[in-house]
Amino acid sequence: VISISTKLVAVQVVCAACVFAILSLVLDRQLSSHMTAEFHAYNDVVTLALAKSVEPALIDRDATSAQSMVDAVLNLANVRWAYIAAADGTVLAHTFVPEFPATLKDQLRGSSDPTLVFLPGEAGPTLVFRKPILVGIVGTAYVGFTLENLQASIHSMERVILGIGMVLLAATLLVALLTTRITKPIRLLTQAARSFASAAPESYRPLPVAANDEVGVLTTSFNRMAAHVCEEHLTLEARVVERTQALSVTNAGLTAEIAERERAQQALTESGELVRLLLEGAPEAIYGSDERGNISFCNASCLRMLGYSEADELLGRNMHDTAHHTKPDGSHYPLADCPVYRAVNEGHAYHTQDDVLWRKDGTTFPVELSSRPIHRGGVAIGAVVTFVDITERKRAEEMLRGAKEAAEQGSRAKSEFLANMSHEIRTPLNGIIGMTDLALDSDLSEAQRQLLGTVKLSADSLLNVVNDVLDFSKIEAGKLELEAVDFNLPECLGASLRTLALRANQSDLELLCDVHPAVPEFVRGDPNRLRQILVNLVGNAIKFTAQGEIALSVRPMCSATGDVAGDGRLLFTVSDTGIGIPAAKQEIIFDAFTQADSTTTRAYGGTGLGLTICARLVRMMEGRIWVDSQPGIGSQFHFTAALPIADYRPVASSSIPDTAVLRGVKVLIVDDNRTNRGMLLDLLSLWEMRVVATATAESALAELAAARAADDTFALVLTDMHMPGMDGFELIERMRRGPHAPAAAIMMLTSGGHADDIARCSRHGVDATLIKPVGRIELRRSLCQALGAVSPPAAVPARSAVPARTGKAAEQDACRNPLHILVAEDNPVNQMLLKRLLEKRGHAVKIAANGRLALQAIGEETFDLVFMDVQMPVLDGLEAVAALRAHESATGAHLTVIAVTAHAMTGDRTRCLEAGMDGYLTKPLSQPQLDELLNSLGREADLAS
Amino acid sequence: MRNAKWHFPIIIALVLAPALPAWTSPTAFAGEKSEVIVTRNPEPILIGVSSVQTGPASEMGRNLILGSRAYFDQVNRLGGINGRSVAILLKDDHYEPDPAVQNTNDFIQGDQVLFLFDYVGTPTLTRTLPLLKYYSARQVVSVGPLTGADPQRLPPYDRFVFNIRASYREETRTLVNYLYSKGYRRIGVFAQADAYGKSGEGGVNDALGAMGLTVVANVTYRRNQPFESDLRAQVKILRDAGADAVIAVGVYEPSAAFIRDARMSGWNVPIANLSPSGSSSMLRKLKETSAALGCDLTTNLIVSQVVPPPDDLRFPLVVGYSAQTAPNDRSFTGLEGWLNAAVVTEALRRAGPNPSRGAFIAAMESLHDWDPGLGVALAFSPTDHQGLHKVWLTRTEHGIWVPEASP
Repeated sequence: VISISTKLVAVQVVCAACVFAILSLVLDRQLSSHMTAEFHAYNDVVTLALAKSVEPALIDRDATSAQSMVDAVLNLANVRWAYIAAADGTVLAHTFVPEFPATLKDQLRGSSDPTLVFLPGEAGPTLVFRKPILVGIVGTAYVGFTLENLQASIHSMERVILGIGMVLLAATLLVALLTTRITKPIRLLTQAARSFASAAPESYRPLPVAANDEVGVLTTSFNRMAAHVCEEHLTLEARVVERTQALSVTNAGLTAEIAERERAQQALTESGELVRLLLEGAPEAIYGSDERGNISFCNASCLRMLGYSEADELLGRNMHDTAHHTKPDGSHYPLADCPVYRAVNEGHAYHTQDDVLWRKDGTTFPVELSSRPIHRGGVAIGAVVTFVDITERKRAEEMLRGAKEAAEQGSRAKSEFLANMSHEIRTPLNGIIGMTDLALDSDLSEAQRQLLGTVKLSADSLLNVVNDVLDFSKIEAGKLELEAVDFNLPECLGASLRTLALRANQSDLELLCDVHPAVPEFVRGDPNRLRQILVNLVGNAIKFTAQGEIALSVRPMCSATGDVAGDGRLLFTVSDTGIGIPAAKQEIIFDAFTQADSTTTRAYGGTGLGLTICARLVRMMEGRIWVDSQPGIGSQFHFTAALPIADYRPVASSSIPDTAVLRGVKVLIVDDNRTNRGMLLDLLSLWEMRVVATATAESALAELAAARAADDTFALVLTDMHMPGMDGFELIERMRRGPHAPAAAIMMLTSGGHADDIARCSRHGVDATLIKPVGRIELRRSLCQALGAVSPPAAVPARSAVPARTGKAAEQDACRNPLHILVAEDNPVNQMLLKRLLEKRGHAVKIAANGRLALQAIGEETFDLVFMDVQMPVLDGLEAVAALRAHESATGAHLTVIAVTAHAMTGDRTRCLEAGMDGYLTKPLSQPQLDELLNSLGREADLAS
Repeated sequence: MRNAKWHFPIIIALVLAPALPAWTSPTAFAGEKSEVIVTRNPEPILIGVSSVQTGPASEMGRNLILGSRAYFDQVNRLGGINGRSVAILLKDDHYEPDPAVQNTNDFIQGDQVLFLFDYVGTPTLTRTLPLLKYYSARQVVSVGPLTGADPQRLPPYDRFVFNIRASYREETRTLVNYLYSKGYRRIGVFAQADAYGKSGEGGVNDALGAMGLTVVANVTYRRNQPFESDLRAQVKILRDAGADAVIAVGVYEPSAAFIRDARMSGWNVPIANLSPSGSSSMLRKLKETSAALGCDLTTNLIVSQVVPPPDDLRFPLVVGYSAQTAPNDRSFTGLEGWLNAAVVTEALRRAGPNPSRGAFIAAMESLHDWDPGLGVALAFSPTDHQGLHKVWLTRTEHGIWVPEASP
């Protein structure tokens, strides 16, 4: 039922709302039409102003100024964009970005002013105003205005009107409510009293107290009374419920606890049994110890190993005192060192392998023992210890050690055997070879010469075989070590090839050597081993080549970066035109004891170890070796070796003349061999000589004539001796006989096989003779000499390069520098050999049979040189030289002592030099080796003086 | 091109300097070691400059005044012109027309400057022209504004301005001819939405019209947009219209932004810029961005210049500029400032001590057949206020500007 007061309030509110609605509608309509009209008037004026201002610029057809005006309009309020169109509709200036909208003109066409347009990318509609410029003749100004400000103004005005209406309505409502409010508390109190009496006390809700007047006091009192009654009632009921609940909870808890305990008991029993079974079954002995070291548990293995039958015998006893009291050596084992005790005490695990435990019967056994602390709550309460009996293991180790020692003993014996073999075989060989050499130099019948030649050949072969086998053994045993000394590479190559030149020449083979200009002159490495590889490869090439040429080329390896200077690795290639190697065999020829074909061995001889040794040596030089070959065409053996550029240039290099004197000198090369010609051309061009190269003597004469005609004659002619058709000597003759004999110096290249070649050369007035293969330095020196730039060094005969002298040629060299030489040597054969070899060169020789006698002789006479055998009875060579040096340190003198040894093992050389020797020779001694040594000593003496 | 005209004053100055009394007329060409000469008249010649010094286009205003200052510093160090030093009054107009007009009015009303100098920008300068006309009785002229637009080159305002640089019309014609000679026929225009852009666009339209061609599409951007703006919409419109080359009438930040957005969307057509694009600053900005984005944004760009490259030492003017500026300060715009200062210095020297504005104008108009050191002579006369007509082309190659022959 709606009360009358409520109805009255409603009528009041409805009337007020109607009046307000009518009023606001009228007001809104009035105001917005007024604002819109003003907005339009403003727009009209702005557009008109633009039209007027832009007029002069358009008349001047000045679009730039027009743009300036249009631009300025943009700063005015409500202007969104503006543009000027010519009478034909062309847009002259506008403010659109990024471009003039395509649809705009269509939207404006035919419509009246103003027009509402919608453009893509703009927030709302744009109201466009337009004004003709000069009555529309020059164009029309368009300005687009945004409605946002206008609409915002209208909206804000509407919000104000709405606000006023709300305030009015609220006021009306307030008046109506105030009148009803005064009577409300009494009415409520009456209602409450009635309902409290009839319903349950707890359904009563306290009445709100509106004010502190009389009605308020009454209400408060009634509330308090009702609350008191209600509280008593509730307390009683709550207590009954509470007691009932507590009882049931207690019952349920008890039941659950009983079940839980039964389960736990069962699990405990089961797991304990399992753990016990596991421990008992373990093969290792396991026992537990408490924090004092007393045994708290031990398994069956533990009892068995310690010799007890019952666990009770051990439980509770101190383990250290029972089985660990004494060390293996019988001394007392302090408790502080015991690993079990320490595990508990220090909280670390311990492991030991060399401990012993004592059995019940007083015997000991070795154990491996581990001890780990047991923690409970972070505190060590004991240790678990496992140990195993390692008696068997110890015994096995003992046997192994014995076997190893025996093996090492064997290896040592093998090495010693090798050294002895080396000595024992070489010493007699030395005698055979040396004596045969001497015999060959004496007057012999042809038949004797052939027989002795065969002896010599067989002995040489035997020596090679022995050397190969020894080298191979040394490499296999890891006994071979490479030297790392600075040496002159071209000289090393020359020396290697010279030893082979005779053989090549005997087979009518050209032997060529081509060293790339970028190859350094001085490198660091082992010259003797490099020579061994080269001699082997070139020797093989000679052996397997019937005709053609053999070429050795050396060039730097390109490094990974393409740098030609490279990383110090050199590529050596030995090419031949021999029988070649089938592809299938190319893989295995570097394996030990293998040749390309077993029949090869029969045809050509050799141990088949040479290439194997080469391969091992190359590998030690950090390189690799491989072969390219086509059967019937030839083979190319390549190998690389790390030969870095030497740290320093030995003084000797200063004796090589500078290439400056060669620069610009015009030289003619005549050689029928293309490879050789090319190599000479490269080398001479490198020294900046002006080079002309021809293949035949005929074309050489033509070149000489042409040069003469051009008044640019050759300063030097370098010609080969053996050429098809006209040979070198004939060429020289023709040159001399010609009407205008050239003043050119002449150099002749020979293969050096014939003893009279050199004599013929000097007869023909040749300025210098070179024996192929020609080394770079040798060539340079000879060129300089031939051109008169340097005089040949006195001690170095110009023909020192001749590889193998005939007896007569050698005799010519004798007596040049007669020396007084002491030979200390115990072996009579070698004594005689050395004496004969040296005396043949015109030296005076005295023999001493051992070191003591040698020292005695040195004290009595003055010697220029001593050859000292290393292995001698009474006082060996090393001891003798040490004594000599000790004596000399007082006098300041120095006698040159050369060691002679049959030892070919590593370290010999070092040992000799450390002992005070000046040089080192290996048996078997040979004439060339001796000559070379004496020559170099003579050179040194010259240089020193 | 080291001609006698150039060397002669140097030699005179070096030979005579110690012998002359302190007050004698100094010369701008003596070496740095010369003593500072005390001037008789301590009152400096005041020159008013209103240009952009802050905001996205500010490097143009700053570089221009840097070049001019370097020249005047040298002049002042040597005793000034006819005994008077040169002082620059500099006001910032933010590249906006209204501050430019206000600054100009302040100069004329309050500061008593002899002339206005080194203004930057078409929208700013064109709005100051009516003011100069309004004060025409005071004979205030604006010398060497950095704008090639038409209004100050045509009646009625041409007599209030001395234009030293070639016009946009000449620059756009050179660019259009260049692109035409390279076989490009579909040319689009990217222009600032204001008087500068309109001026360039008009030049392109006329040059193309002479060949019977039209612009394939026109796009605009709002003035003073920063480099960070997104201009991909403009790139898309030109690309969709099938343009095979673009002539950009902009300043360096938005132009660089346009080049960036074009290149990043894979559009590598030639983009030819006008001299106000601030080529040195633009290229530096593009190189920084290239490095950040890991691609090369500097390819296939052409800029027409009104001065030779600032490192082209074949020109005596450039030699002097290089001698007096640090390498990092050098730019095309800086060289233009140096050129402007060299021209007004010559005019002031001819005007004699205490020149009136009328005398200064007469001296400027006498700079006919006078070579500032560029191998071309100025063409000022009482009827012609356009000094130079020469346009140099440059293009990018490996991230630097290299000279390119004009077609």
